[in-house]
Amino acid sequence: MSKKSTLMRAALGVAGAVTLLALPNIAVAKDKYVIGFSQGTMNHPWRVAMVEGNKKYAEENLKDVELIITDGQNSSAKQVTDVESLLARGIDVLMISPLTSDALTPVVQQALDAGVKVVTLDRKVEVPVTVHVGALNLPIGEDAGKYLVEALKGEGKVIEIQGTAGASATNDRHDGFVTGIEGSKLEVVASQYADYLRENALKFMEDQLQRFGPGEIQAVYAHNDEMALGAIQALEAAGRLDEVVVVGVDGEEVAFEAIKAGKLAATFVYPFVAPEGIQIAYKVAKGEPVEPEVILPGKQVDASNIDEMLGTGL
Amino acid sequence: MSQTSTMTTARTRGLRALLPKKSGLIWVLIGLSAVAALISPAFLNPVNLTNVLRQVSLFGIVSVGMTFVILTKGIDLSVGSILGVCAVTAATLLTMGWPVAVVVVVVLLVGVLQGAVNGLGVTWGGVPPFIMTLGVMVMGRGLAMMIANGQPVSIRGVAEEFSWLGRGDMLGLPVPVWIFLLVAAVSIFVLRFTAYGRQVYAIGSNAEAARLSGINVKAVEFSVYVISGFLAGLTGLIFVSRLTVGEPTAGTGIELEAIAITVIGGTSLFGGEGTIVGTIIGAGILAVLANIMNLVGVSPFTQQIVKGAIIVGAVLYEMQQRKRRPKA
Repeated sequence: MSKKSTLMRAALGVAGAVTLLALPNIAVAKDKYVIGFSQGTMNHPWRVAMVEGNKKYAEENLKDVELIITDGQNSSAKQVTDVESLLARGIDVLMISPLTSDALTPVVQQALDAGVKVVTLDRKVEVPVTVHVGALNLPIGEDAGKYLVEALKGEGKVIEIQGTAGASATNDRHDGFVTGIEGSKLEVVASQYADYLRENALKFMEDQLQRFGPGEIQAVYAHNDEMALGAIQALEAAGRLDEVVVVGVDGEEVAFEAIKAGKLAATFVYPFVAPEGIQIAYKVAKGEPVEPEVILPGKQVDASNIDEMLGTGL
Repeated sequence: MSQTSTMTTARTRGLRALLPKKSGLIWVLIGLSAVAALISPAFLNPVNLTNVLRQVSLFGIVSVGMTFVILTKGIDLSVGSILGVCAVTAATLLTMGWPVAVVVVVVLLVGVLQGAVNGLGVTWGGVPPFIMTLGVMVMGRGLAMMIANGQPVSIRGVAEEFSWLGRGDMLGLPVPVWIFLLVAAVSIFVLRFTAYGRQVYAIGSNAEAARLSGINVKAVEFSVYVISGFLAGLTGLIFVSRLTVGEPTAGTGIELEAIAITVIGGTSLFGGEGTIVGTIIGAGILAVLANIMNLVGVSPFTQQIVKGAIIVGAVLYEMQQRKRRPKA
C-alpha cells in the first residue's frame, strides 16, 4: 500500500469519526435560541453539577434552545479560545463561569460589543455584563468568620485554605472572612491557594500539621467543602481532629454527612447556579427584562440544623 | 514505476525539499478541514478561520522551538513554566511602569536564560534532557508563583500599547499569526539552508559520528534549548497581551501540546528527522480538530479522548512507516 493511499485512508478515517461524533448535533433547526455555555473547569463536583443541572433543565423544558457547552480545562487561555469559538459559531447568549476575572474580561467585552448578551455565573469579570447570577460570597466569608469567632470564644489560631487565586469567589470569601473576624483575637497563621481541590488541601494541611504542633491550631477555614474534607483527612491521620474546628463552603452532601458525623463543624450552602443559570439566559435570549444582578440565597448548616439538611446536599 | 525515495537530505534544494517526508500529512489536514466545512457552516466563517489561525500560531511558536530540541534527540518539558515565568515577569514590569520595548527585551532574555540553564545542564552537566527540563519545569512554576505572589498580575489599563501584540491586527490577520509566520520562515531557512541546520540534524541522527566529524555537539545542543526558551518567552509575552493578565499558571500543559504537535508533524522522537513544515501542519491538524469539535458541540470529555487517540494514531502510523523504509 503506498504511503499516500494509507494516509488518505487515515484522513478519511479521522474525518469519518469526527462526522459520526457530530451527527447528533448537525440536524438543528435554524430558529432555535443558541446559547453558549463556557465553563471554566470540570475538575470539581460543584462545577459538574452546574453544567449538568443547566443542561438537564434545558433538555427537559426548553425545546427551542440549543445549548453548547465548552470546558476550559482549568486554563484561562483555553477558556478564552472556547468563547472565541462560540462567538465565531454565532450565539445569541453567552453563559460563562470565568476561571479568573481578568483573563476573561477582554473576550467578554468582545462578546458584548458584538451584540451578544452575556450572563456570568458564580464568578464575575471586570466589566458589567447583561446579568450576573450567583450567591454572594462576601456574606458567606463574614458568616464563616463570625461562626469561628463564636466557636473559638474569640481567640485562636486559624489556617485558611483558599480557592483559585484570582477568582472573584476566592477574593470575596477571603475578604469577608477577614471582616468577620475583625475585633476578635482570631489570627490567621497560614494561608495557601489550594485551587478548591481536595488533594491540594490535603497536602497543605499535612505540612501545616508538621509546622504547628498539637494545640497550636484551633480552626481551619476552607473556601469549599472539598478542601475542608481534605483538611479533615489530614487531621484524622494525625489524630488531631478533635482539637480543631473545620468550616467549609458549598453544601455538598458529603459535607452534610461529615457534619452529622461530627467531623465538620459547619458549611455554608452555596447554590451551584443551576437551573437558574439557563433559566435566566433563556429569559435574556427572549428579550425579557431581567435584573442585572440576581442573588441566590445561601444558608448556614451546622449541627443544629443538619438533620433537616441531610439528603438535600450537592 | 516506483517512486524515487523521498529521502531528502538537507542538501536537496527546491520546493520539494520543503515538504515533510510524509507529504500525505497535508492531505489529512485538508481532509479534516473539508469535513469540518461540511459539518458546520460556521467553520468557514472568516472570524472562525482567524481564530483557528491564531490557535495554530500560539501553539506553533512553542512547537517550532520544541522541533529544534527534538531534532537533536532531546526534549523540553519546561516550555510551559518558562512561558509562565516570562508572563508574570512581563506583567509585573509593565505594572511597575517600565517601557514596553524594554520589557519585551528583558522578558525575551529571561526566556533565553532559562533555556540556557536547560542547555548547560544537558551539555556540561550531562543530565538527560527529560530530567533536566523536568527539573526546570518544576522550579519554573515555583519561580513564577514567587514573582507573582501566587496571584495573577493584571495589566488592565496599564500599557495599552502592549495590547497590540496579542490582540492587534495587521493586514487582516492577528499579530500573533504574523509573528508565527516570521518565526516559521526563519526556522525553515535555518534548518534547510545553513550549516548550523545540518548540524542539528546530524546530532540527532548520530551524535557520536557528528562529534567525530568535527561538529561542536555541545554548542549546538546548548543552542537548541536556548531557542526553545526564547520562543517560550515570546509566547508568554503574547499570552499576557491577549489575556491582559500574567498568570503564574500560564502555559501549564503546553509542553505536552507542543510535543504532540511536533510528533504528529513527522518529527521523530529518536532525533534527526522532521521538518518545521510538518510541525506547522501538525499544529493545523490539532487546531482544526479542536475547533470543529467545539463548533459542533462534542462533549468536552469526548474531545479529550479523540485528541489523545489522534496523537497515538499519528505516531503509530509513523512507526509503521519507519519499519517499511530501509534505514539509510
